[in-house]
Amino acid sequence: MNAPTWLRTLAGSWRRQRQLVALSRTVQAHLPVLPVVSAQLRDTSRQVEQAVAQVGGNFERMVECAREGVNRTTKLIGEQGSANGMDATLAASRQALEDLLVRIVADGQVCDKLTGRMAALERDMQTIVRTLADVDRISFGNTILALNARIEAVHVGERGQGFELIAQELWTQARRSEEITDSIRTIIRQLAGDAKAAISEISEMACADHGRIAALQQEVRDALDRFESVHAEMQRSLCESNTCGASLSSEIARAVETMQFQDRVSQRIGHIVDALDSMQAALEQSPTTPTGTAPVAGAAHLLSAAYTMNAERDVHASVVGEAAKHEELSDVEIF
Amino acid sequence: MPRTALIVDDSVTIRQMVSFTLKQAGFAVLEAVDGQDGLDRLGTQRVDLIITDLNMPRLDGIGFIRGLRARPASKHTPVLMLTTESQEAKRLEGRAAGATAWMVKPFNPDKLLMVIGKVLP
Repeated sequence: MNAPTWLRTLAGSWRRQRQLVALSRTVQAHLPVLPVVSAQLRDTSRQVEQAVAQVGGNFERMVECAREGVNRTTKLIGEQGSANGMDATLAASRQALEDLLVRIVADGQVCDKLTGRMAALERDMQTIVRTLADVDRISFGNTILALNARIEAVHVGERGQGFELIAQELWTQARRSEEITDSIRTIIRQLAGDAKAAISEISEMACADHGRIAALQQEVRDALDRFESVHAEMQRSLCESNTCGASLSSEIARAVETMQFQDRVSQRIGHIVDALDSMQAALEQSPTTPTGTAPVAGAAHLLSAAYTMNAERDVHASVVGEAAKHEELSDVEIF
Repeated sequence: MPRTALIVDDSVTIRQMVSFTLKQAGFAVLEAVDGQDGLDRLGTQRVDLIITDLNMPRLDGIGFIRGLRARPASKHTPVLMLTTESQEAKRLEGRAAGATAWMVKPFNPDKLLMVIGKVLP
């Protein structure tokens, strides 16, 4: 026997009421979860922001360090081709060395000339010594002449006394002449000996200096070559550092662009949190009795109205089964 | 004397990224966390350029631009709106408020500097 219609309706209504009560209890049980989920999302968003800000700060310090390093190196070794750079210093050092060497060679030539002139002086002294021998011979002749004159004066007797005086004077002059030539000879021999010794010393010194200078010249040139080689290596390193710096700058620019994901994620989480808060408020305000009706109409519209990004709108549209409706505009517009 | 820029954004990250980009280009940078903070800072500072977000707490980018355009000192200061929002209606609203240019985030640093070069007198 079928139950009357009114009884079936009553039973159906009673079943729906029981279902609504069960649903209400389920919602009530889950309601405390919503603020927890909101707080978790907010905290996650904050932590992501802190992490990204930390990375951004590291980038800034990295760039500063890289720039400071390049600046210091550039200051140390100088810009290639600059007037006060290492290139110019090396060129000036090399030129100063060459000038010094030219001057030393010139000094050596002066030494050679001096040695030659002293040798000529020594030869002239030998000539003087030989000339003094002639003077000696003349003096000896005068002595003999004086002696003969005195003999002849004795033979003449009293009338020859005047000749004897003259002969005596002639003998005296001849003796003085011999003494003077002896003295000059002694001095000239001394001078010739000194000149010879000086020539010998200057020659030895010049030979030794030539050897030392040649060795020193090679050492300094080798040192400058090594210095130039090291400098060239440092400049290559500097160029590579600059290239790496430019590359780093480019990489960081890309990273700066990429790290802005945090801002978009933060905004989207903010919208989700707002929606959860709104949902919680609506559920708390709705009657708990099964006869009430939750104010859900327009909630989806309110949610979508809060969006600030086309990506959010696209996701929303795909979930609710609508086509995405937004214009494709340029990222930049100057009014 | 370096040019000064004011960055107005509630996102620490965006302020940091924009500040980093501008400092590399030789700007001195001031920061504000929202539109109201931006107006407060402009009360004591004269700047050559303003970069502002659109959606911010307390006072949004549109309200901020209206406020600064009402001040004689910042009536003609170039204002670049840097936002995730790309809708035409919002752009028109920004333009009507007095924005000089609109740029959608995420920004590329070189592109940002290029746009700044175009809007600066």
